[in-house]
Amino acid sequence: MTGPLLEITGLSVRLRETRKPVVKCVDLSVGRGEIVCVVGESGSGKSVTAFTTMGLLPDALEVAGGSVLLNGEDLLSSSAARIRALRGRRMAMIFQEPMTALNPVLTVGRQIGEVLEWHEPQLTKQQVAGRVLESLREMNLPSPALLVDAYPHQMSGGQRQRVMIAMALVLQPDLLIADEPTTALDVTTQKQILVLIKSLVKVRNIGVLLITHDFGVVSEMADRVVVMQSGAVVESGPVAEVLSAPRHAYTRKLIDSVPRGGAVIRAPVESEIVLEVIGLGMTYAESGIFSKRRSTNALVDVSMELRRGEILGVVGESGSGKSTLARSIARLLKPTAGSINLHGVNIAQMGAGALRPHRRHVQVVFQDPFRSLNPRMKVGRALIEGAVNFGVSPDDAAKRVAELLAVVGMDESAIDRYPHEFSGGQRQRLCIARALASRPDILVADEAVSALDVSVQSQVVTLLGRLRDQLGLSIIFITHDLRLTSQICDRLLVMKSGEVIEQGPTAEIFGQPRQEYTKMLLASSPQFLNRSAIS
Amino acid sequence: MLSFLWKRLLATIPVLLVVTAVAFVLLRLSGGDPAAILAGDSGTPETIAAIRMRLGLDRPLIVQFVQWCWQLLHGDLGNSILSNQLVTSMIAARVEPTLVISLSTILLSMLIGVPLGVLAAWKRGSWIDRMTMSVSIVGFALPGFALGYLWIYVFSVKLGALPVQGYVNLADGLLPFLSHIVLPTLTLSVVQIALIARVTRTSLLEILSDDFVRTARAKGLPERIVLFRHALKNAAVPIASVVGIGVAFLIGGVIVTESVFNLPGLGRLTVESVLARDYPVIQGIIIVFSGVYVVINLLVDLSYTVFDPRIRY
Repeated sequence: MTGPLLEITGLSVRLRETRKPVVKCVDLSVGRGEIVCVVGESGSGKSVTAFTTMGLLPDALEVAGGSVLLNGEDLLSSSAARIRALRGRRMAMIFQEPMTALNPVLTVGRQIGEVLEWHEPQLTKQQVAGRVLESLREMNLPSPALLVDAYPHQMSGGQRQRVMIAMALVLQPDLLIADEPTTALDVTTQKQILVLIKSLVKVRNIGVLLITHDFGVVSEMADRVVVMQSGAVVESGPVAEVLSAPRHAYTRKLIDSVPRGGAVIRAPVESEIVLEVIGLGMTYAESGIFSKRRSTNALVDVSMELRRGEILGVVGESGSGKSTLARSIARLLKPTAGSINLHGVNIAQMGAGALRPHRRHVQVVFQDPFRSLNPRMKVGRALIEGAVNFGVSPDDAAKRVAELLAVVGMDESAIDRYPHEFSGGQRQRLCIARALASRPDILVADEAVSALDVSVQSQVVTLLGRLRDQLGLSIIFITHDLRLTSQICDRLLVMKSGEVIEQGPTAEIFGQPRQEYTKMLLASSPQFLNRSAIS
Repeated sequence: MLSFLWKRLLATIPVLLVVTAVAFVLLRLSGGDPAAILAGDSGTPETIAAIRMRLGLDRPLIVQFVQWCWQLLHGDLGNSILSNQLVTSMIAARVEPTLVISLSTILLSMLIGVPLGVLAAWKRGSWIDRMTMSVSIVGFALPGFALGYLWIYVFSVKLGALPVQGYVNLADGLLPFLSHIVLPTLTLSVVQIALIARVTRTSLLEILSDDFVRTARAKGLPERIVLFRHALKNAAVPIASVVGIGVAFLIGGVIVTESVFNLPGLGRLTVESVLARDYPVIQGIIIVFSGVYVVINLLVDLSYTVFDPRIRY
């Protein structure tokens, strides 16, 4: 076949009402057997471009010009019925969050099966069942025969994304559009999914349009790169060229914001211990598909200490117990064993009343800044609410708001605005300011930058480092992304299945990891110059 | 699952006990004396007192209540003050028309309300959405008896297409049976349709913005499968709960509607018994109605597990 598989020329998309352009004159193409990465921060128009191709634009948007050709067929002028026939059969899409992208009330087998039933009605029930099973097997899913009857909530994140890919590819489409397919996954799972996609490209000779904000992913996956900013393509070319000699300042900024491998060597922190955790344990009862009811040990005999002005990184995959540890230290959970000595006082089993005076010392910043600020409360009020609750007079607290905003690098005008007026990075700064309002000694950042764009991530991480240096704040930095810890963490704690398997100075763990698991975590992080790891 | 069922059934006992106690006390505080009604216009104070004593109405309230509960435990709802018939057999004799129009109402209102709500959500902001929503407001606001008389005026008096009132047994022919239940069902259904359509629309609108709906479309599925298989099943839990709550409206509606259409059902029996201050009959009906309500809502709760596999009891 001549010509590329997908060819987008001069595509413009705008808001239907205000006619404000969202995507401006975008050109890009994807050939067979090729992975093209579209990179950009949120709002760069990369997802809108993908949705336009699939014919899935939200009602608020409309195509203003250009053409989208799939195998030479113009998608923009095709009828809705034709587009529907092409979706699933010739082009398919997978999404960022496999939990919400799968229907929670239908079994996996049903959801894959209906693609076959609808597009190939001549298939018998047995043939459909057979191909569903085969497609799951091809994605290296464990016990596919059991999974057919499972519901999405009974699987892990990585399994769900594999199911999504199985569903997308069951009809052998030519083009796969992957919209941030690994952003919501652990580094190790991310690695596996990326490897899977890459092998599928080879085996099936499909074209992949991979959307990401992470140049680390780009460097591992892409044959060619398209960089988008505010709706327009600012740079494109073969991956080696763009990575080694970026022409556009924005591309350079994105590349620079990817955390590099090697850790910064820091002098050991030798100030007094503010927090000491001894033999912490947490046991839950839960139910899964393969077993009826079992109790899960979320934390097993975890011991650690935190010094004044120290950043302790806690890393591990989801389910490793790192969030449980964070929530126990902040006493949002009551651990089932062990002690948490905060300034020498054990708060592990304290009741709500006794705990109150201690609460202000430990403050938490959560993962999702969009959901952790009250949308109907002005920023100024949200920031002082906690402090007032701890007995600071409202006047003093109000004075402090301006100060706090300055500390996190925000303008004073934020006081009278509502959370939705800010970007994700700004909101996370506000959340940090809110946490600082009660003058805590310890800040727990629970995946606090995971939901942010890579370039914004590095800004927030830098801010945390500055807060340690300026305020002598102790920070527990929880993340599944090892790369982020290299820049600011003084020490690292590696967790697996609720246990601490390794801890030590960051540079040491990066330099000579002792545990296989730590080595695997390190190897899974998408970085530059380790392309050989996959191909 | 079984333990859930068992616990829920046990929990209905205090509910029924409270309902009966409240009904028992309210009835006796509401004034009117069954003995005086029984004695008629010529009754002397002596005969009234004699009747009161015979019926046990002269005893303290608490004694009467305990005695009634004791009978209830043995499946005995007592005898009517007015006719001395067994309350259980009176209820049994009148249950059919009520059951028939209740079931036909639930069926009709789901058959119309759910698709209407789906349509309104799918075509959000269109004329069909706005019409559905405004009509449903009218449906809420219109009192049942006014609606009943309106139907009678249009269909029976003007068009002469349907009987004005009364009830015909199914055994006496399908057509006469249906023609007699059409108008009562329509009368009762309007408010239920309004309720179900609104809840269906709201809960579907929320679901339609979910990611998996986008996935379903990305798979190339036609809109009807996206709406009815993917979206509606996810929206089913709130719809089912409103159907359950709707049964309470239905019980209130049945009493008025049966009077308007002169149906010999439990609703009519309620009105007759209230007018005669026939305490045992009223209490019996209340027990039956609240029992039905509790059981239906238990079934609704159980139906959640069918719609949503994440819900386990």
